[in-house]
Amino acid sequence: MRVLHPTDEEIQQYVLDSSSSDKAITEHASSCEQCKAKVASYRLLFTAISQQPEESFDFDLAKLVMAQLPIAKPKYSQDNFFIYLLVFAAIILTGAALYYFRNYIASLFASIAPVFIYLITTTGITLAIILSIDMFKNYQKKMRALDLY
Amino acid sequence: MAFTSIIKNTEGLVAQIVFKMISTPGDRKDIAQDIYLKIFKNLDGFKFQSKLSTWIAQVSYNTCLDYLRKKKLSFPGTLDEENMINEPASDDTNILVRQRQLSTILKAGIEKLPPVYKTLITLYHNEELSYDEIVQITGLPEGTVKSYLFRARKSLKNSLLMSYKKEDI
Repeated sequence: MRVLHPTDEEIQQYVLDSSSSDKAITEHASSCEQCKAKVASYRLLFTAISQQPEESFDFDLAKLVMAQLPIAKPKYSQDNFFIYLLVFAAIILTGAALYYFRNYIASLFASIAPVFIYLITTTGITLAIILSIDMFKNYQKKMRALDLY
Repeated sequence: MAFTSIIKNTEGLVAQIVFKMISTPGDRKDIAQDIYLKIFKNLDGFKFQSKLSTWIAQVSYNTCLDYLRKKKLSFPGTLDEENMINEPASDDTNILVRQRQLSTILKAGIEKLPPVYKTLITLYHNEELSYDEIVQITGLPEGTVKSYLFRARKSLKNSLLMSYKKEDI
């Protein structure tokens, strides 16, 4: 059995997490009367600390803060109009290009061996799946970080 | 509104930090508002590198530190070793002490600690945060956090023992 008494730091660690303490400290703390008393004091202290009532503000903090925030300006609909216009233009242009070059595209695909088409399609789908998983993981990480509920 | 929800869900943690760091009740109200105004202003700066509550606690801690520095109040990281209660001759504590007495003595003991020590004790024992989270909030090295916690607990334990001894006498 350990003859030297554990330090206060070692006793604190033992009380907080006995499983991570040295075996010699655990044995000593359970057999030495002086150290048993110290362990009991710290146990009592930690219990008392955790039972201390939580502090809270005696005013409505949210109301006070919200009253000081600048009033959010409603989003100007012109911004959204330009975005929709750009998306619409992109769809029209892509559609027109596909229609105009349809014969060329069809011959292009016909000249490529089917195995290459499968390869390109598989690669595209795999990439899309990997990106989706990555996006989902990122979303979950951010939601965990918010941790409000 | 989303920001109201953020305030409602984190003001408990912010209150723990503000109450432990700031002893003047009148200033707590202004500081608490200042904390959330800063958070609102710098919300874009939150990069999801930690939990939102940890980041808010970090802003709270730094705002309180700035206040203490401005007011030139006691330097937040020093425990007066001279006035630290010496180890009593005996550790023979009466475990069956009344709970109310214990709570009062402990509260007084905690009040005597420097602000940073009080905050660390609260974050670790009441909020049950990990060392990593406390390091993120305070910006102190892990070794310093552990050392401050050890000294604060030892001081509190000795306060309790001294109180019991006085009662015995």
